[in-house]
Order: sequence, then structure tokens, then C-alpha cells
Amino acid sequence: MADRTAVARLSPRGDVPPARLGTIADAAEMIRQRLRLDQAQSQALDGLVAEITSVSDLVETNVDDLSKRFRSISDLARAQAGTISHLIATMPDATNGNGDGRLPLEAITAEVGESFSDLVSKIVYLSSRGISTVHTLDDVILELKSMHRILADIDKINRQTNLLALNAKIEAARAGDAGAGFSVVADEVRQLAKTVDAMSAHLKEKVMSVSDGLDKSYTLLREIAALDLSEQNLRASAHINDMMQTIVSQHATFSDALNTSGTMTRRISDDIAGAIVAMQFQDRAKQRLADVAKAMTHISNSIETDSAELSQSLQTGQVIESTAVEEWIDRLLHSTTLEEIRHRLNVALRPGDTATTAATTAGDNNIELF
Amino acid sequence: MDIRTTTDGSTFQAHMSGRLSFSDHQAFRVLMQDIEKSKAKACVFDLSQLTSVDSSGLGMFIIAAEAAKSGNWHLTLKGATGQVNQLLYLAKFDKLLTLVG
Repeated sequence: MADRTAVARLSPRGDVPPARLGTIADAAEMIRQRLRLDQAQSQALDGLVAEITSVSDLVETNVDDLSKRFRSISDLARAQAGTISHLIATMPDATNGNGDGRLPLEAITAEVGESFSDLVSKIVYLSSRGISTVHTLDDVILELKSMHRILADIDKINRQTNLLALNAKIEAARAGDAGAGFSVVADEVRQLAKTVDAMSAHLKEKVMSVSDGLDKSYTLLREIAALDLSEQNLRASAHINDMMQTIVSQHATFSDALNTSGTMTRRISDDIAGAIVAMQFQDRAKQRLADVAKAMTHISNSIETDSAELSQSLQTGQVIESTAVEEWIDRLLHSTTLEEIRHRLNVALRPGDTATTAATTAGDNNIELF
Repeated sequence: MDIRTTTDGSTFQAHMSGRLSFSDHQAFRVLMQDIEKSKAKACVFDLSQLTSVDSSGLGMFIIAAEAAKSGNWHLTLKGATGQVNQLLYLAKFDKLLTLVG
């Protein structure tokens, strides 16, 4: 039978060929030597169990640390994705003049163009008022010119009056005493003409002053009204427009880059989350290593018990019944916790035992994950 | 600027050429008086030969538009090209009077 062969292979006592033994003492000596070897093997197994436990703890500590770091990276990546999303949401905007909302950059460009247009309209309107004022000033200047003419007429009349008074004076002198009174009147008329002359000169001065003021106003109005709207200035407007267009297109590129970056960050976050899940292998490995250690401890203990029994048997000469192989295998299998380990161990120890294979395969779900 | 005017009773036409600037304000005033005297119901400024205009030139068009409104006649600016045309649209003359190409 297949399982019998396996048992024979596993049992240390099955390997001893009895044909070579000379005396019972020889056999006892040989068994003693084997017992010492058994003890060494048992100690080696204990040492390996300690080693496995230590490695398992080491892996656990480091994987724990790695998990923590990965979780921190994942949190940071998520936060970064949030920041980028916020940036994308706010970047294309700028506050409008009322401070109660936001304007997309394209609208700002249009608004700048519109503002420029408004400015030109206002300049043109201002110029039109300037031209109207100039027309009014032209009328005033015409009035001033007619005043000049009137003043010239007054001068002319005044000169004639003066001449008339002089003639009267001459005639009065020629008339002798009879003309004395008339001479006084002629003097008064001359005096009057002098006064009118002074007044006329004063008025002329005033008119000149008003005329000068008007000339200055005229020049000022010309400066205000005649704003150069040459092609060079128009090119400046076109340049502003080009600049705004460039800003809009750069903004679009920036926005795209941010979007891509946001997507990438989210993918990194997902990958890290996946890596954290993948690191749960450590828990599985730890449980399996714990079972391996348990089984090895069981084997070590079994070797020790067997050795003690054999040793006692040699000393007392009494025959001690050995543990049945099947029972030993059952105990070994029950020393493990995980169904999968128990199943594989069973398959290794009892090849061809389909009943146990089927029975143990079903219960492979008792691994605790964190 | 040079101005050549024609009238057929109902439509007064003014053909402007050269550069329209501040120094033309008197000629422009005379033009406005001529339009008023003609009693025309429509006036067309032909700007096809006008090479450039400054803000006072555009201001004169504003005065003409206001005169048209108060005198109840219709003003059209026709055939403006280049800088003149650009400025007319930039200063929103299309909302003030009739602009034709």
C-alpha cells in the first residue's frame, strides 16, 4: 500500500537494517548514538522554528512600516489631486468689477477690447464738444472783431471832434472878446474828446486782452480735440488684443497640463491604494509561517518524546509501544491552523488519499486578512 | 481736407479727401450750414478718398450726427477704408448713424 511505504520512509526506526547487528549491546549502542542525533535534530528544528518566527516578525514590522508610508503617500496624492482640481476650478477666472462673481479669461479679453472701444468713443465725444466750443469761440472772435471796428469808428469821430474843437478855438480867438465864452466851450469839448480817447484806448486794451485769452483757449481746445488716432495707436490696440489672445491660449495650455497632472495624481493614488492591498500578502505569509513553525515544533517534540521513550526502554529493558504512524500524522495535521497548509501536508504525507484531498480543499477560507 | 459737395434737392452729398483734422473745423462748419440751407432730408458723406482722421475729425462726425437728429435728416457715412474705417467701428459710429461700405 502506498501510505505504508510513506510511513516506512518517514519513520526513523524503519531505516535500521537489523541484519548488521552483532550483539544486543551493539544494537543498544547504535540506538544510543541515534538518540543523540535525534536530540541534535530536535534542537535544530527548535532553532529553525525560532528563526522562522523571527523572520516573520521582521517582515511584519517592515511591511507595517511600508504600509504606513504608502498610506501616507496615498493620502498626500489624494490631497494633491484635490489641490489641482481646486486650481483648475479657480484658475480660468478673475473677479469682476462688482466683486460678486467671476469672469472667464475670454470674457476679460472681450471686456478689455470693449473698454478700449468705450475709451475711444469718449475721446471722440470730448473732441466733438471741443469742436463745438471752437465754433462758439469763432463767433465770439467775430463779435470782438466788430467791436474793434466800432472802436476804430469812435477814434475817427473823436479825431474829428478834436479837430472841430480846435477850429472853434481858432474862430473864437479871431472873434476877440466876443468869442471868449465860445473859447471856453471849445476847450471843454477838446477835454471831452481827450477823455473819450482815453476810454477808447482802455476799451481797446480790454478787447485785446479778451482776444489773447480766446487765442489761448483756442490753442488749448485744439490740443484737447485733436488727439492723434493714427495707425500707430491703433496698432497698440491690436497689440493689446494679441497679448490677451496669447494669455488666453497659454491659459488653455496650462489648464490642460493641470488636468493631465490631476488625472496622473489620481492614478498614482489608486496605484498606491492597490499596493497597500497587495501588501496584505504579509499577513497571509505570517499565518503560513506560524503554521510551519507549529508543525516543526510538533515534529521536534515528537522526536524528543520518542527519544525519551526509547532511552527509557534501553535502560529498563521494557518494550514501549510506539505511536501509530497514522495517529502521528493526524496529530501533526491538527497542530496546524490553516486548512490549506493542513491540506498540502496531508497530500505530501498521504499521496493518493483523494478523500482527504477533497475534504480539506473546501475549507481554504479561514485566512484572516486585515 | 478738400470738400466737394453736390445736391439734387433731396440728397446732399459731400465728397471728402485727404486728412480730416482740427484745422478743418471752419470748413466743416460751413459744410454744416450748407446742409442746413439745402433742406435735404438725407446727407451722404463720401469718405472713400479720406486717407486719415484724428479725434477732432471724428468729433465733427458726432456734431453732424447730432445736427441730423435735431434737424430731422438722415446721415450716412459711405466708403470709409483703412484706419478711417477701423476708427469708425472702434468708436462705435455704427450705433450712432448709418455706415455703408
